[in-house]
This record gives sequence, structure tokens and C-alpha cells, in this order.
Amino acid sequence: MQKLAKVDEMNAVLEELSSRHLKGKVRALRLSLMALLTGGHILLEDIPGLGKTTMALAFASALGLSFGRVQCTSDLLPSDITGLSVFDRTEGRFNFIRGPIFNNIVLIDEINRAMPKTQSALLEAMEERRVTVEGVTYQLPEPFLVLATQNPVEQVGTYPLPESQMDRFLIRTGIGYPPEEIEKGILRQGSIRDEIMHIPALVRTDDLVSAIAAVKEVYVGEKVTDYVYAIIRATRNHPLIQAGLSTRGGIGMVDAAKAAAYLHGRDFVAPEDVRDVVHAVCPHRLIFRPEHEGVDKEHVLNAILKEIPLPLT
Amino acid sequence: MVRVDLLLSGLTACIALIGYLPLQAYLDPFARFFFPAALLLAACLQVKGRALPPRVLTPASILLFFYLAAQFSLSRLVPVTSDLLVVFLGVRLLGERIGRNYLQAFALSLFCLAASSLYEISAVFLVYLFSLLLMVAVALVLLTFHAQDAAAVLPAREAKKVLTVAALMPVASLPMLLFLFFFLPRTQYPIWNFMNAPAGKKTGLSDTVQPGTAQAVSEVRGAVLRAVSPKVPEQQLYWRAVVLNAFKNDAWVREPAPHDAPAVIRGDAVLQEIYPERTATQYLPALNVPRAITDLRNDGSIDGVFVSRRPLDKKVRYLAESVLADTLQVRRIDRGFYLRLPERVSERMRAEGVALARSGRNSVEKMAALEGFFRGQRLTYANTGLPVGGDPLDSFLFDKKRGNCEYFASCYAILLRLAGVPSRLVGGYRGGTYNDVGGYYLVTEDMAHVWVEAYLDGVGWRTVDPSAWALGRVRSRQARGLAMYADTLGFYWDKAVVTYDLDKQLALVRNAGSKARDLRLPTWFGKAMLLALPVLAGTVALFFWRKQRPPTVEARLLRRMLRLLAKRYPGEIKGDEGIFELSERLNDRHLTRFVALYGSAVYRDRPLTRAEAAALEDIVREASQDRP
Repeated sequence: MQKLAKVDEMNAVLEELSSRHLKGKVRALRLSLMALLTGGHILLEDIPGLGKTTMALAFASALGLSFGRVQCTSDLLPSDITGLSVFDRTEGRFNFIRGPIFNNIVLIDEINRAMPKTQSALLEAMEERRVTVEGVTYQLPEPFLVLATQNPVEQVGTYPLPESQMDRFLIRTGIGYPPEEIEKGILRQGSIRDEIMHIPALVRTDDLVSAIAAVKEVYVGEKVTDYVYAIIRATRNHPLIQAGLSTRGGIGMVDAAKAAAYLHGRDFVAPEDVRDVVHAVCPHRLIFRPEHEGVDKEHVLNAILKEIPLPLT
Repeated sequence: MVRVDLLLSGLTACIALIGYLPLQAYLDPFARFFFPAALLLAACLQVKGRALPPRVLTPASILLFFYLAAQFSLSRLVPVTSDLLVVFLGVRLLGERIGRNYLQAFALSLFCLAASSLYEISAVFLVYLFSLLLMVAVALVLLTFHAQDAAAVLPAREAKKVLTVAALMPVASLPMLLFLFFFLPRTQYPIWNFMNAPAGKKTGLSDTVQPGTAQAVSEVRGAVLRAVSPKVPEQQLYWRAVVLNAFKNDAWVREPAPHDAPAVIRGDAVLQEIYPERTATQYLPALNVPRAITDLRNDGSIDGVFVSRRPLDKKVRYLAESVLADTLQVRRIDRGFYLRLPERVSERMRAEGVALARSGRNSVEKMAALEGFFRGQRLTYANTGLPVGGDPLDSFLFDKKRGNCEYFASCYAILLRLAGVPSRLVGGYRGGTYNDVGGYYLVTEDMAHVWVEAYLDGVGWRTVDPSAWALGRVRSRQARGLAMYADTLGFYWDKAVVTYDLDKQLALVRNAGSKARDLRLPTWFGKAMLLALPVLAGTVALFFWRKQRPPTVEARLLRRMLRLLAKRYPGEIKGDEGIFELSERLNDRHLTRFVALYGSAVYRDRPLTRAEAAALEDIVREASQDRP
């Protein structure tokens, strides 16, 4: 088995970040990297103050990528994200001023506070990886990752993302409170925002690009496809679920599994890679029947996974 | 949660009880009461969590030893040893609850049970032995836990598992026991009998009948015989053992039969397979009237009495062929012999005899008249308050009017002789408890009976049971309930184990040897069958092996590896994990190498190459040899 391109560097970044700067955020970091490597986007759903922004900043600096940030409010306009043309009087023409989306990593804070029009402009840019302003199309940089956050508790003055738009995010995850010891350490040290600004880049952009290419090459075998399909079918036939996983959801699962396999140093996907990512990829795509709205999606998913044996041979 | 020490103590108490119970009947009173007292005290101590210290127990054991050993003599070898065993077993229970003491208690219990076999061999011994072996096996397993940690506590599920596995061990050895059954010699009587022969069993059947010697007859319920036979009509259930035909000191006795013509018995034969209990007499009872007895060397006489040539002091079996007839056809008899009277016959009886002689012209009419007389006297059948004294028969007929079969039969036979009809007494058994499970009759001592045969001229001996004319007759019963099953068990034990003797075993071996020598290859068909059978068996075995075997090389290799790991990391492998997850979690170097190679083939949709399969094979072998 030949060595996968740049896998050691990627794992080193994860290791460095989670052990030095962002203790207790391994899972979220790993999922973010997986999203980046597959060209997907990630939605962090958690209450404010758990270090979502810190994580995004550290992530960008460690990977040596440019970072842009949008704080969403209800009067945020699409042009505040994409950028806009400004008339240059000396040259006598319009100049396009690029918005924050023209960065490798874009943090969209509290996406559910933006009004639907802005949300949809943003999501379109995420999907198309380009922005068209006044008839001119601008390509977004590669690699490109949107890290959106939303506060699930706050309801007043928000525009919750409709399911169809949730589907655009490859991964949705929470961050969760750090473990006790680590949190105490954080309390002792205080905020590390300054320190994070000065994290040196651990990889070059070329490395990232070749890693992304390597993830694309990860082999997905018949057994794994069968397994993924079995999961999809089970969600579609489940009595509590109104709409199971879409084909895009299935593709997302396979893509994320590829990234997981890559991070494990394998050039093929094993069924456990799929199971590894199901909880990040699937729950936000499942629509439960109205009478079962309150049911914990994770529980249902766990029950489904338990029913389907991992193909071992 | 289950406390191992409690469980162990309980089991030990049961084991000790199994050692004690079979011996209990043969113990001296001291030992008999010492053991239950010790058991009770041990239970109290257990509850309080205390034990008697060795400085108390050791001197006590020494004292007890001297006390019991003082009664020792050559003739009391076994009883004293049994007492000692039981007393020491009791002392052991009182001691500290440590492994050594438990083991000693187990060993003593086994010795006690073994000692009980010196006195008595019955099917119950087998039950005791099996329960003892089962419990000792379980207790030994528990003891290993106890030795590790005296306060060990097992969760209920674990405890159940441990007990099941422990109990399976002796059960698994059962087939071995059955195998050994054919080779091990066995004794037919308790070994202790060699040294002190038991007093002849008191039987209800005797070869003299003299009513009036005792006021009451005690009912002994011991078994006399078991006869495998088809069901027979109730009124024909007479077991003929002996014929009494003469008098000696006013008692009916058996004298060598006079020169009668041989009897002819016509009718359909009923075959019986009879297992008599050990008795002092040598008469072989069979359904009335037996025509022949085989499978046991015996002498038959013309009056249908069969006598074994050797004493019935061990368990035997014989086959009897009987005809259920009420008449033995005999052309000619020695009339004078059958008309002799006892020395003393009362006046009233003599007068009655004379009246009878006049009452009819032939035997049949006289018998009918006599039956009328008996019924008219309104006699009662009883086993107590029997007439005794100067002339008990006279008193029975005319005063007390109660008696048992001996009175009825004696009076009837004597009155017939007085009236000029030849008669004789037949001793045997009446009735029988039919066991539907085993398909046999159980005849017990209390069924002993005497009836009469009267000679009708030109016809033969006609069976008459005068007791039947009594008010209130005992009927035979149908065996019911637990007792029936217990008796069936004992019957099969005798049939299969006790009467299965060494001669038969040797004959079996000899037969097998000679058969093997004379073995000739059969004809072509036989040969083909001989070949085809192993081939067929092999094919079937192969089929099942293949069916149970995973279909692909990959699956087989993985199964071997996983089984190996399950052994090495007990309880770690749940079967719901991927192989890479498993290798990461267990961090086993063999598994890591295995899954890398295995996964890269299986999850890349290509079969293992020959080299890869060999490499995996090697990894599995290395892993199996590697002892971490």
C-alpha cells in the first residue's frame, strides 16, 4: 500500500492544534478538517462562548489559510458578504471590492440571524464556489471552507435555516463543553485569542491541495456502498421518519467517510469509517414526522445502525 | 449478588447430608444423633460468622475417636468405621471454613456413602451417588473462587454461569459411566453380608401352616417378587409357591408327593419374567398354575411346585409359563394319603364332617354344602384377635368366627377330608399391585395367602379359596403416584444392574471374540454396503462441516483470527465493531498487521491473492503461538 499524500502532515496539524491550542475540541477539529478535505462545509451548532470562533481562527492560521468573518445580523445584506462595486473617480470606473467570502476559511457567525435573502446568497456561493456580482463572475479561492455557527437555544429574531438549506452543510456538529480538567486549565490561562493570532502555519497550501486530491482518490468498495445504501434505506423505511436521507446525503456520507479513511491512513473506505461519520452527516438531514418531532435523532440513528451489521468479509 | 461462601457452606451441608442419610439406619445412636446436632451447630455458627477453633476441635476429635474405637472388634469392623466416619464428618463441619476443611468434608461424605454400600445396594444408592458427584463438582469449582477471596461475591448472572458450567462437567462424564457399566464387575449383594450373613428374611410364606400359634399376624410390607407379565383378571391372581399335603404335630407340612398320576394342565400359557427378592425359602412362586420354570436351575414336582436348586440369597430371575386354570387334571391319586387327618379334631368339627358326608353323593355336592356352611357361619377375615388355645380351629368356626386365610383354608380342607373328599393346601400369594409404568406385578409379603385344592373324581384338583366367603375381603390395588415410580426405578436397577452378573459379561466378551474370529466377509451386496456406509457417513459429515464453515478464504481467516482474539482478550470482542476499530482499540500488533492486509483486499473488492492468504495464515499462526 503506497503512502497517501500528505496524510502525516494533516494528522500532525490535528495533533498540534488539539494538544496545544484547542484542548478538548478534537472532534470538532477533525470534522472541520474532514469538511475542508472533501470540499464540504460545516455547521457548528452550539451556545456562544464555547470557542467556535477561536477554533476557526486557530484552524485557519495553523493551515496557513486566509480567514474571513461575517457576523450575521438581521440587516446584513448579501453584498456585505460577497462584496460590492465602488466607483473609482480617478480611474472613472467601478472597482469590485471583495467581501469576506473571498477567503479560504469563512466564519459565518450566527447564520440564523441573517435574513433569508442573505442566507440564500451565502448558501449559493457555498454550493457554486463562485460569486456573480453585477454580471461578473468571481471564482472563490481554493481550498474553500465555510464554518457557520448557530445558536440552537435562541429563537427570538432568528430565521432558522430550512431543511433544504441544512442539506448544503456536509457536517453539522456541536462543540460541547470541554472536559473538567481542561476547562480548569483554560480558566487558569485565560483567553488565548492573542496566542492564536500567532500560530505559525504548519502546512503549505500546496500540501492541502494535494491532500484534497488524495481524498478524492480514496477507494470506495462495493461492500461499503452496500452498507451506506442499507443505512439510507433504513432511514427511508423507518416509521418515525418522514423523509429519510437524500442521495446528496448519501454522497455526503461517502465523502466524509473517505476523509475519515484518509485521516486513518487508508486509501480505501472501511465500513467503520462510514459509521464514524454518520452522526455528523446524517441527523440534520432527517425530517421526522410531526408527531415525533421531539424524538432524539441520534437515538433513532443509533438504533438503525445497530440493526445493520458491519460487512466484515 | 451471590455470596460464594454461603453457597459453598450450603452445598457442603447437602453433601454431608448425602453422606449421612444412607448410613443413618445402620449407625449407633450416638453417631446418629451427633451428626444432626453438629450440622445444626454448624449452621448457627455460620449465621454468626464464627467457627470452632482447632484447639477445641482437635482434642474433641481425639476423645471421640477413643470413645468410638473402644467398641471396636473384628465382628464390628464396619459399624465402628461407619460411626467414626460420620462423627468426623460432623466435626469437620464445625471447623474453620477453609479449603482444606471443605475438601476433607467432601472426602468423608464420599467415604460415608461408600460405607453405606457395604450394608445395602439399591437404586437409591445411584441417586445418592449422582447427586453427591454433581454437588462435589460444583462445590470444587466454587472452592477455587473461595480460595482466591474468602468474601467473594458473584453477580447473579455470573453465578448462574459458573454453576451451569460446573454442573455440566459431571453430566458430561455420564456417557463414560455407561460405557464402563459393561466392563466393571459388580456385586449382587452388599459386601458386608460376606462377614455376617443376614438373618433369614421373615416372609409371609412358610412351608408349615398351623393356625392358632399367634394372636395376631403383623403385616410386613416388604416386596416378595416382581413379575413382568400381561395383566391378568383380578380373580385369577394367585401366585402358587408351595403345596402342603400332610400333617405333622397338627401342622400342615409338605411331604414328598405320593404316586399320583402326572397332572395335565390345559389352556393358554401366560409367560412371566419374575424377579424374586432374596428369601430363605427356595420355592419359586408363579401364577397359578405354573407349567414350567426356566432360566434358573430348579426341580419341579407333579403338584405344580418348583424349588430352586440353589438358595435364593442373591437376586435372580426366572421365566415362568403358567396356565390360568382352576383345575389340575389328574387321572388318579393316592386317596388315602389325601384323606389323612390331624391327630386332634374337635367333636363339633367331626360332627359337621359326618353331616357333610351325608349331604351329597359326590364331591361337587359336598363342596357346595360346605360352602353353604361356611357362608352360614358368617366368618370374618382378620389378622388380629385370632383364636388361640386348645383347639383354635374349633374356636374359629363356632365361637370367635374370625381368622385369617390359614384358618379358613385349614378348616375347609379338614372338613373336606372328614367328608371323604381328598384335599390339600396351596401356599402362595393372592393379588398384586400392577405397575403400569414398568408393566409388572409387585407382590408384597402381606399378600401371602393359603387356599385349598379339592379333588373331584375323574376331573382333578379344583382350586377353592374359602377366604373369599368371608365378610369383607381385601382387594388388590393399582399402584399409584410417586411410590409406583420409586418401585419402578428399583425394579429396573435390579433388572439391569444387580441381576446382570459377571458371567454374562464374560460370555459377552467371549462371544464377541469368537464372532470376530469367525467373521467372514459377506456377499457383494454386503461388501458394497460395508463400503457405502462409511462413504455415506463421510459425505454427511463433510456436508455439515462445509455448511457450518464460512464459504470464503477471507471469512475463514477472519473467523480464526477473531476466535483467537476472543480467547486472548476475553469479553472484549462484542462483534459489533469494524476490524480497524477493533485493532485500534486492542492495539494488538498481530491484529494490526492482519487488518491492514485483510482490509486492503476485502474493502477494495478484490479477492486475496495466494501470497496474501499465505501471509495472513502466517500472521494467524504467529498470533496463536505468541503468548503475551
